[in-house]
Amino acid sequence: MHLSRRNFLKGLGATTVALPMLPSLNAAAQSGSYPKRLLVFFSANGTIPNRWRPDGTERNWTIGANDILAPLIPHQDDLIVVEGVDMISTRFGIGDGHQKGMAHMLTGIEMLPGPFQGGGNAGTAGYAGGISIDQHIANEVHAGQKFKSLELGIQCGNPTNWSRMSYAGPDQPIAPRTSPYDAFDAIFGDLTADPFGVERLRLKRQSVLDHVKDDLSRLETKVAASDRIRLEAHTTAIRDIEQRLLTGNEFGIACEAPDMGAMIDAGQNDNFGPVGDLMIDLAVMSFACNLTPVASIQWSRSVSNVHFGFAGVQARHHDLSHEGDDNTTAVNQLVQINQWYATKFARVLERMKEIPEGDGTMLDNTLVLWVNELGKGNSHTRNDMPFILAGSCGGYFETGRYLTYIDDPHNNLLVSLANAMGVQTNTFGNPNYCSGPLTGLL
Amino acid sequence: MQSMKTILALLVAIGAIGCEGRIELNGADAIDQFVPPESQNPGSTTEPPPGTIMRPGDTPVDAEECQFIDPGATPLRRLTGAEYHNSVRDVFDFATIPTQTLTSDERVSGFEANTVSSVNDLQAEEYHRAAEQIAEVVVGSLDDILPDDADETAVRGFIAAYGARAYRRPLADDEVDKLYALYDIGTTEFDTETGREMIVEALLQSPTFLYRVEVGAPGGDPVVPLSDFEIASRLSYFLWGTTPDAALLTAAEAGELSTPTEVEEQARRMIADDRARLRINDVFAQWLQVDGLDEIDNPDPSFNDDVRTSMVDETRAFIDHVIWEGEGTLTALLTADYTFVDANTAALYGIQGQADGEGLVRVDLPAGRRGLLSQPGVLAMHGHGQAPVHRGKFVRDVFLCLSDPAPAPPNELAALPTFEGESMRSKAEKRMEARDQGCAGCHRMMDNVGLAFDNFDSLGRYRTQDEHGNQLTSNAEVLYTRTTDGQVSGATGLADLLGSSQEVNDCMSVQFFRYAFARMNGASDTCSLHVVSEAMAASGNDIKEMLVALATTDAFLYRRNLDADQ
Repeated sequence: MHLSRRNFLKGLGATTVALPMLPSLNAAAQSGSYPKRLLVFFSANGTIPNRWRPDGTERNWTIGANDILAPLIPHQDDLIVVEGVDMISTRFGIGDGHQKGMAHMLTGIEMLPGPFQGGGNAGTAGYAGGISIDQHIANEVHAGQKFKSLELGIQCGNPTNWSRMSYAGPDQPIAPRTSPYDAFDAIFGDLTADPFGVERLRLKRQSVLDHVKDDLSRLETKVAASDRIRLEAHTTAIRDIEQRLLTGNEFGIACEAPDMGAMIDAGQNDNFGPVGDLMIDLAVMSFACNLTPVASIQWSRSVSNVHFGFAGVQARHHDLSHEGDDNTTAVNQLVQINQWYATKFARVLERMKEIPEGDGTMLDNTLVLWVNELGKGNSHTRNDMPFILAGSCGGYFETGRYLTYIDDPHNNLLVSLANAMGVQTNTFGNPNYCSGPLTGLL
Repeated sequence: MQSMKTILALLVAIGAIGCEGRIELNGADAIDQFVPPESQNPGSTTEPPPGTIMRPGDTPVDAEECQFIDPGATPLRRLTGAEYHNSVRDVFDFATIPTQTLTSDERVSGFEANTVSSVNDLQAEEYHRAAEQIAEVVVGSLDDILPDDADETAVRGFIAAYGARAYRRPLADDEVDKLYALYDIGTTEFDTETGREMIVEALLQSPTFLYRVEVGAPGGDPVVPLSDFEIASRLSYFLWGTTPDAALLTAAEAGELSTPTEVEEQARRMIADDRARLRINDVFAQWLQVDGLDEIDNPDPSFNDDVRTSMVDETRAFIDHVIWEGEGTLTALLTADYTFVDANTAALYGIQGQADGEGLVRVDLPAGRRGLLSQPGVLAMHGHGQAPVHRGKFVRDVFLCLSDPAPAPPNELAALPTFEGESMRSKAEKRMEARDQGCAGCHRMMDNVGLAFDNFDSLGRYRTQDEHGNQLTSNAEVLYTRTTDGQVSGATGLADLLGSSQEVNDCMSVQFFRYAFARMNGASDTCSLHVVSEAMAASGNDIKEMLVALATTDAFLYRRNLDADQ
């Protein structure tokens, strides 16, 4: 069934590698303004700071040819490397190092109690205590696109506070889509072209989903208050999917769905890279087709134990990340792993640069943010986080810079992201750990 | 650029944040903060702060207090993936239901639970897609159930009968009306098939099907008994992982699930059924993390998908045999001198000439091995990286209910020097001695246990030296438990120590309590757990008796009043 849908799109000439101008954005192109987009890119287990850090000053800097960011050298003019920002909020509240890193990364607020057994004598912890910045931005900037946001992931694991970074609200983690094929179907596949079938499906979906929403609201009186919130969120989810299930895709003929190639097992360790490549294409094409303003690509999860044999490292990432600084083999292997992620980050930028928008490319209208739940793997520090921005977000940021900070809270960076995307706010997360946008970034 | 320290200093100065506000929460004093379990005050009757992990015996049993019923919290559960599939299969038992892809389940203490996070877009989409696909198959299989020309009464009959299976209780009249109205829309606008599909789609996306709603008896009492239908569902999902069968629904209808004796009777009937065997085996696999082997990749050339499957097959066959055909105790799981191998696993054991093909053969274990803990699948699951940490943590978490820090140290740590070619034991010793860096407190608990498996490589093969040529020994020590401390030699010594420990058996009850109620246990569960512990002791720690006892606890039969259970 899935295959036939893909073939349907392909039959309309949708297979392509080169990406032409996309009609769905024609109107925007004529008015001279393209929508701003945000893409969050996550990789786990911290970095090797002295192999991550560029050399030089804000506007006169270089990336070492053997260092982690080397694959990004061709894109240096599009980057803002942000060094020295601390996840100060993670010094507070419950949770172990990885849990906190993951849950605070995009939320900047303490975690809630819950059943996940984590580190130290802290006992158990739940999920993040607030909405994540990508979701806050999505809520504000969503303007009728099929998706408010698209969360894509590669081998992200079971739902736990180690494996979720996007939150619709307190205790409301958003599961990333980890099957590129199911994601393809949700994004690009939909109502059939048979008019009778379309009408029938519309009627069924409209009536059944209305019925379900009514069931949910009746049930809300029969559960405890804390569970009522869960049912309300369930209702919201149905409302969110309702519109896209009813309208179908107008772009079917004009917009280009990515070529998914032969189906591979998305859960296989050695398919980590190829599945990620598909996810990158899906995210970029969703932007190109104006199907969503916000997306994320989550590579594995905190405590990622992906085996990097496919990148020439015969070890698992988290196991390696605990090795000491004197173990030069391990350090070099970790550099290699992080370099591998940098090539994937570069791939995102390359794909975006292939899509012309106005006088520039999609990257010029986009903000890409690379995040990690830790600063450094073997210390589990959440200080000196390896944040990287790419794209000027419609000229909001001056790119090609290397910025260094001392002790500035990452909540401030989250505020800057919102501002860049046109969302006016002076604080985000727990205001105790926020003093406004990150100074010097603009 | 503005320094955060200034802001924090200000906040501290105005008293907005207390001592937690210091910039460097650190691991350097973790060893000083570490409180060994035995020093906790067992006489304390106050509820510990949320998030505290309660172990057997943390709270004393107060006979007087146990006269009052306290079922603890009742989180709203959403069906797990397995429960969803089983339920759909059993509700529409006349159709062959296609398997559906659902987002993986949220776990509590290793057990699939789905009690915390909400259904988000992706899951709503999955439920919707699954309902459409299943409805098509169900409606296409209705021949003998509902003829094409069925009249209104027949359709209403179908809604009432299959709705009751899906909702696990009879439908109210207005519920039938609503579903019939839906059917009517589809039939009037398109055709009967459309109308029928809409009934099935609505049932399968209804929160009454997807969630296990438990309201309890009406009234304002702080604690209320669950209704008979709610008990039927509890029993069914607890023991069978699916929707109640006709016998349970009939008993509920007749009001015959209202007393502990009636519930016990049903529980015993259900445990004797093969559905319990399948479900409980799965629960053991979740508890013992056998199902996690899927995510394990090992660069060893002897490892591949086939070998992984053989490893899982061995452990599952062993669990199945011990519980349902063998001794039926945890002690046997830990200390049995036999296992079931095929050619792949026989090679890992170094057993020759007994298992040549794919089929499983019962064999006696070679020297140095005993029970589940020395099976290749279990050893491989926790045999990566610093294996003593993972294996030790596994034993403590799973069998001693002592959840040690994992997978990360609590705070900022200085990395220890390590060098290539260094033995696992030497690295473990450094961690256990590194008090200054805050490593020792937790690693002494974990590594000391994990070293019992030092002779097993990452695939569970026995060896006397590691890949660097270091000689291996397997002396180990269990520390900071209540009654299970001791020095042991190797996996057999550890198996004997754990297998003979009542603390370990009580921990199993605690784990299954967490499974049964999809939550961590708390101080208010002391009396319920005590009942289980006594039943275990009286039966020689029989696993089936543990299940029966759990099904008759206050926690199983009652809930706190909705308004009180936040």
